[in-house]
Amino acid sequence: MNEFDPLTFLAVFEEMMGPLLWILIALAVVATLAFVVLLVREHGIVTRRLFVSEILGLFGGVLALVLMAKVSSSGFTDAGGPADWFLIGLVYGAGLIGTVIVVYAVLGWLAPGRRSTA
Amino acid sequence: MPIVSEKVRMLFEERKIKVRYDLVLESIDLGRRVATFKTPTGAVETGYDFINVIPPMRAPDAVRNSPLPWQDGPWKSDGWIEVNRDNLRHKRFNNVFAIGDVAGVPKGKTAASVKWQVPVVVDHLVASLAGKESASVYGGYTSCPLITRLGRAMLVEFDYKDNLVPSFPGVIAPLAELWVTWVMKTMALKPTYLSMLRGRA
Repeated sequence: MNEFDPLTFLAVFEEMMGPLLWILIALAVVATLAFVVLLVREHGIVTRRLFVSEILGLFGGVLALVLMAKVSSSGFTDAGGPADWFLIGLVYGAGLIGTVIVVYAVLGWLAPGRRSTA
Repeated sequence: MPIVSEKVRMLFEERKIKVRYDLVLESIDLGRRVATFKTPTGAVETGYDFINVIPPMRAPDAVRNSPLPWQDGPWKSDGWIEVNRDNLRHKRFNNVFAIGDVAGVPKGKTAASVKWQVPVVVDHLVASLAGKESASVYGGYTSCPLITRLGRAMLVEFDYKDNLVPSFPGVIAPLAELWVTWVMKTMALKPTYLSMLRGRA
């Protein structure tokens, strides 16, 4: 790489995914906002809801890896070195964290009556 | 590229792939599925099930039929433009530069090279317009993801001197067969070319 220009990366990702890129970015922004607003409104984390989100997050990570394998016409079994394991971890982590935030926010906003005061 | 050639030789040996060098395809009989090669010891006929022939590359007619190509030397017959390999400026026409495939330089027929060549040419153009000299140099950087099997590739980056010039030293080793390189190749390269053509990357 000659230089790391964030706009270059944006252009390449836009070329790669088209409108899907903006849908995903919008989803991430909305979910994160919804998550943060919940945190503020409820004065902290609701442990029970977080637990459910984390369990689903484990599957979200797997789903991210399956998706990655699908679009790259290969699989994480093709890993050949540390950089590959790092990428696998990154993809799994992104899937996990993304799922936890989305699920936590959705559950929180769908069931306001079960809001905890703890 | 000696060090990569050696690595590939090892891969072939490991996978029991027989390699024969010094064969130049002369003719091909599609009906009989027989290819005839010129070898140092005379013509050799070889039958095939599948054959992949890479045609000789040459500059487009508009360039070949112009005064721009090399007038002698190894690139004369292919018609590549006669430029100084360090600054990509034409050796006879001071106001002409060449980048990419059409440039008659020892290495650099890749999009990655173009990415490195453009800033050098721009620097020289801007300096020329301002009546100054630029010290910007293109070192022959080029890059090719070398697929070694489904799901893995090596990210080979090198320069005029056949030195390896890894972009991610310690992370993506140049001679390692990696999935991350395959992912880059299959998912990101075409979008990168297209965004370059659109002038966005």
